[in-house]
Amino acid sequence: MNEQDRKPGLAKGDATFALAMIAVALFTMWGLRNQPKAPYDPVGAAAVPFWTAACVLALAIFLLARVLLRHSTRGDAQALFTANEAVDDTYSVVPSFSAWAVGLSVIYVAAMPFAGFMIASIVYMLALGWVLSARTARASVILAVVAVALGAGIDLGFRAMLIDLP
Amino acid sequence: MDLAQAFLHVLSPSPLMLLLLGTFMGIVVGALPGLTGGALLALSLPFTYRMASADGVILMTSIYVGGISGGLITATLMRIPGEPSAVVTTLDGFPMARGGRPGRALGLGISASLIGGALSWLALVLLSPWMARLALVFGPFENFALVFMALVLIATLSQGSVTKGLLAGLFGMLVSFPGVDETSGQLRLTFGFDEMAGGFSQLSVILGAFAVSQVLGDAMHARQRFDRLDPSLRGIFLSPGDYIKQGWNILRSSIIGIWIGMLPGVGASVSSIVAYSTAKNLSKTPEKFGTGFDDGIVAAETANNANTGGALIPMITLGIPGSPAASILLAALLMHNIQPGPTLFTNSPDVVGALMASHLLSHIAMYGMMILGCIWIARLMYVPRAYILPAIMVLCVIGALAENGRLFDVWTMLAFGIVGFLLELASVPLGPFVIGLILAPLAEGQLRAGLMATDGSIWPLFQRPVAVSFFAVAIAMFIWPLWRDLRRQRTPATQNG
Repeated sequence: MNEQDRKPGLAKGDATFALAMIAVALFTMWGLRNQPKAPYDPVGAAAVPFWTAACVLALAIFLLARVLLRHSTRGDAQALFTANEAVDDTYSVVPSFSAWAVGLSVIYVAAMPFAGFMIASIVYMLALGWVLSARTARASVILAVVAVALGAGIDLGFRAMLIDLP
Repeated sequence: MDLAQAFLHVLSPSPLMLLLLGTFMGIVVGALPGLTGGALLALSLPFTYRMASADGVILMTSIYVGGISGGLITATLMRIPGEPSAVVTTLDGFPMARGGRPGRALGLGISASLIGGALSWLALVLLSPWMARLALVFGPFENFALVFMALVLIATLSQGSVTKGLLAGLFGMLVSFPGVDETSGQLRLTFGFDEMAGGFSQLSVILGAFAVSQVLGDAMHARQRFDRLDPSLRGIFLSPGDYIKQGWNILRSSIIGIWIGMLPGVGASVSSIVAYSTAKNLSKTPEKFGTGFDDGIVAAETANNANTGGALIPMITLGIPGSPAASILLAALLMHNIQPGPTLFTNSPDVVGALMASHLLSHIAMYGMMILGCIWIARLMYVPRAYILPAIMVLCVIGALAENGRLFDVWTMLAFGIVGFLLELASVPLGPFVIGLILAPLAEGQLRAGLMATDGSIWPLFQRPVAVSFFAVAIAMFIWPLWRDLRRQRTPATQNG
């Protein structure tokens, strides 16, 4: 067994991926259950998606079994990359920033039909930029200028190109 | 349109501007760590809508070339590979730069990139028509078997586990199925939602998987800062003797890059690793590799760029992308209702010509821009990501809206951005996912066309030598890594026992 595979995080990631794929495959099969037969087509619209879902199901169960039996689920190429990659550990990775980015992006898209593209984009760039920035007075001023200029500029530019924006 | 006319077209003012812009943007994004050329290609996809097909291809090809090349700047000067394919360049580029010769390190990398790219262009021009003629005799079963083999190859040769690569490819296929079935005209997998009648927009899924996922992942590193640099560019121009000394290394690495580029789904990273390892294994002084050795930089950078031409060969002749980035180029062609494959040469010679001409010319533009501006490009790294990432997200939203103006497509993009981000966290390669998404309609269409011709019998599929050979290669490629892993796991156990 590969030493890296003993790390619970990696095994958890593989198990979660396998379970998610099992759910996707079963959901697809369920969605195809009432697909009518097509005239003049011996295969039908459901066949290829069903076979693909069946393959996904089989492979996901195989992956899950490997994780549960603690077999290696990582390939050589990845190990080579991990070994060679230049790691910069002079700063701290902040996973919550990604969560903020997801949350703010969802609010941004949800607000767009009500606030309009320009306003929603400016507020979004300000909010996400502020979360990610050093939050100094200088950074905030630059951020505000960048957000307003880009938000207004992009909106006007794309409307000029006749792209329909909310 | 012959090749000379294609060059004249690309050199006319408007296409030339697109080529220079694309190359420059590609180099900049390639140099910035985190953001990749693939993300920029995805982001540029919707902007090609309103362009003539040939001009869209020129922009995308130049971004592709610039993106692959730009990574060497920060890899050499700061040991921070802007692109995954530049990781190997750090091994010798950074020690040479730190040892007081940054100009020579950059010069070797940039020149090797140009020559590797030019040789791969030659392969593209010479091999493509021949391969297209060969593919013309393929029927639906052969085409299906070819796509099947490509999917297996993509999964087995991409980074990481074979099982996860295959699952990612098949997941991409599943994502392509909802909507109207083109053969029967029936709706499928819409789950009663009207918005799903058109299926998931391919563009939105690609934008999500390549660009949004990267923004979400990059947000974690928003506080990363880089040391100021002020290197000298002395030695950036190589002497004729340098080229002669590196001749065999360049030729060998180019062949490796072109060949690996032609394999479906294998990106430039693998080319540079294989070329570097080969150069080291064949060297009389292998101990010098990793210490700032000329041969190491040249092998890695030549193979990187040679990969670009190789990856375009199966894309234009068979409709099968040779790399994840080439799959986005393929999506661009499909968006313009251009079907890549053997008939592309007769149906859209202007597109083929534009692609070939822009591939070579963007390499030349890349050489000029990087020789003149590599230090300034490296300094762009100081722009905080807090300003860049939100702006990229807004551009992604515009991209998703540009196709149909539907907010559903923006939600699709966001959802697949989150899916892509989670897949990357779980070390699942995204390349097979996107290639599965793009190739699934082709695979299904060909299989069903074949089965309709044989009244639903699958046996003719196994009676055609070409189709059977493709299947045999696919099965061998699937079984070999599994068997090798199993053997490797058993060997230490036996030795310990």
